[in-house]
Amino acid sequence: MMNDQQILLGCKKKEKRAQKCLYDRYSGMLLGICVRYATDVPEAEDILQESMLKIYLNIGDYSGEGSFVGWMRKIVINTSITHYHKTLKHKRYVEIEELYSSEAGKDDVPDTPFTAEELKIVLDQLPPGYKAVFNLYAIEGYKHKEIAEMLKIDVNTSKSQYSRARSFIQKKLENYK
Amino acid sequence: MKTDRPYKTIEEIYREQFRDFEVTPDKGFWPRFEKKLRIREFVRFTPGRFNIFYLGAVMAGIAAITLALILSEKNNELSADTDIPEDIVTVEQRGSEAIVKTDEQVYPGKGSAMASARVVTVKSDKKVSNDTSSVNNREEKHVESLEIDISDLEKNLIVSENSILGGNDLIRPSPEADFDIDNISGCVPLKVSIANLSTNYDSCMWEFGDGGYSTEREPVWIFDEEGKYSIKLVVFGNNGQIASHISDVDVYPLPIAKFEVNTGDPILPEEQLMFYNYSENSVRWKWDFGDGHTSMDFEPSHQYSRYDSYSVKLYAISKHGCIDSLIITDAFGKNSCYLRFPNAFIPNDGGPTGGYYSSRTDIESEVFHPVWSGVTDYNLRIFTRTGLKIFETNDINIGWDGYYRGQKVDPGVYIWKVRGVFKTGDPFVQGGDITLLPKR
Repeated sequence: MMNDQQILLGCKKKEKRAQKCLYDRYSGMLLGICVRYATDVPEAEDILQESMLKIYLNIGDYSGEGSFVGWMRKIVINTSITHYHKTLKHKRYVEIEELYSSEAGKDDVPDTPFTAEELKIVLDQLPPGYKAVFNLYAIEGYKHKEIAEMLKIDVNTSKSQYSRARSFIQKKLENYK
Repeated sequence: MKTDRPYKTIEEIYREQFRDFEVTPDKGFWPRFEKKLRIREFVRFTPGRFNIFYLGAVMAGIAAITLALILSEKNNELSADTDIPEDIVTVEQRGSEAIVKTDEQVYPGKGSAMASARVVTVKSDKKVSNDTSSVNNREEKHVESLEIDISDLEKNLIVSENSILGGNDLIRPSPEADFDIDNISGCVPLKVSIANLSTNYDSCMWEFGDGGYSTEREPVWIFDEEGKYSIKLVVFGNNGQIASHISDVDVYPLPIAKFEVNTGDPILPEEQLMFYNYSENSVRWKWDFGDGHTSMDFEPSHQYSRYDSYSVKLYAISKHGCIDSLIITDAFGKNSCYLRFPNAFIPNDGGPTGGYYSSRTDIESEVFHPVWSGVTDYNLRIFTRTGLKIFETNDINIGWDGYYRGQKVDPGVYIWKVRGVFKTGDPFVQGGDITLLPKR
């Protein structure tokens, strides 16, 4: 087994063994990100493929600053967002208000252990735009200002979409069990 | 931590589950992907490795050489075919040298001279062929057929002649880029008006060095951030040439005026007040104390002759002369001294509380207390209607909880009296009645 440093060097030299190694080690994690942004698994694999191409072809640009995994995550997230923008015009989505009118509920949900699959089922019920905002804010930890720039939306849109997505998820989780 | 909190936020739940959430890709993914990757790697240009760009370059080179070879062969064939007209031209030229020359003078310019020479040759060709009787019949026919061809050619030539004339007789001057700026330096925000002194140009392009650009002839630009900027003008001449000119602009940062006055509890006339200067990026200061006095000190002290509402103003001046100012209106808060009492309250049933209150703890009006500001001396007394004093305090933070000697007093109307001094030195005396309401 190679360590990250060896993988990195190998991939820079376009060694097949290192490339496969990188894939084996990280493709699961990266696809795990993709599925959160995509609407279905084939779309997620498309995003993964696009991201991996970027990773392999631009691995020479990775400066070594920050973690390598973080660098790859960022590429995958950015690709997901680009993909979202690209597919946006082909899809029609219902605004979230029509799905669920939010009401002031309590802030927390009972700590019954939800599995990732259950959480993802709830997440998948969100329209892609809301999903992206929620992913970026809650999981990836971006600021609303950064999200607004990435998604090319207003900061206030990001904030309001986030709070709506959040209360939607909260309601769903409460009803889940 | 986890056991402390039975509830988790949605963010925590999701972050925990998805930070390391993995989905294994389909088995067929890697082979498909690898194929794509190899193609993309090959297509990508990398110096030092043979790929499609080098391949393309080699192919292009081969194609160019073959093309050149084919073309040169064709040329050879052509020159062999076009022997006859060339012959005639030489004949004509011999016969009509003079005419050609005059024509040349009529039309200046190389292209037109050549064209007219040919036109003339056609005409003179006829002459020549008529004059020379030695030419036999067969040859004459040949020449006649040529004549038709050539008259067609003549039309073409005249057309091309015109176009050549149009393109060639104007020599346009080269553009020159130059401009004047009204402010080459100044404070943020610096507005710059530009006078365009360029000559012989069709269009221009300005770059202001702060990321902004313009294609106006004489733009006005505002630099709203400090820095040194190079304004670059590129002009595009009407003869296709480009000229440029660069000029620098210095935009100075603004100072920031900031100060505080030490408003120690009571402010008395004749007291020395210290002014604390927190200004940034400044070298000179001017204070206006609002009572007609000013100071140029960094941190002056000042003494007002009487209490009043004063607005203190500070100007901070940077080394480049940029100015910022800050006014604190009513710096000593004459308007912020007040004392007001409610006219009813509902004591709690749970026993004496001691009367301590704050606006946050007493939302239910369980304690009788004033809203106030700027009070330094304070005495509150409360009497029954018969004149029995049932409460007294010298602490403004203590109100009446509605109890007297541990017993809740009866609901009804009570009299209060207050006296004291504001921090301005002004004394106050107020009185009124308060209705004690029963709970529910």
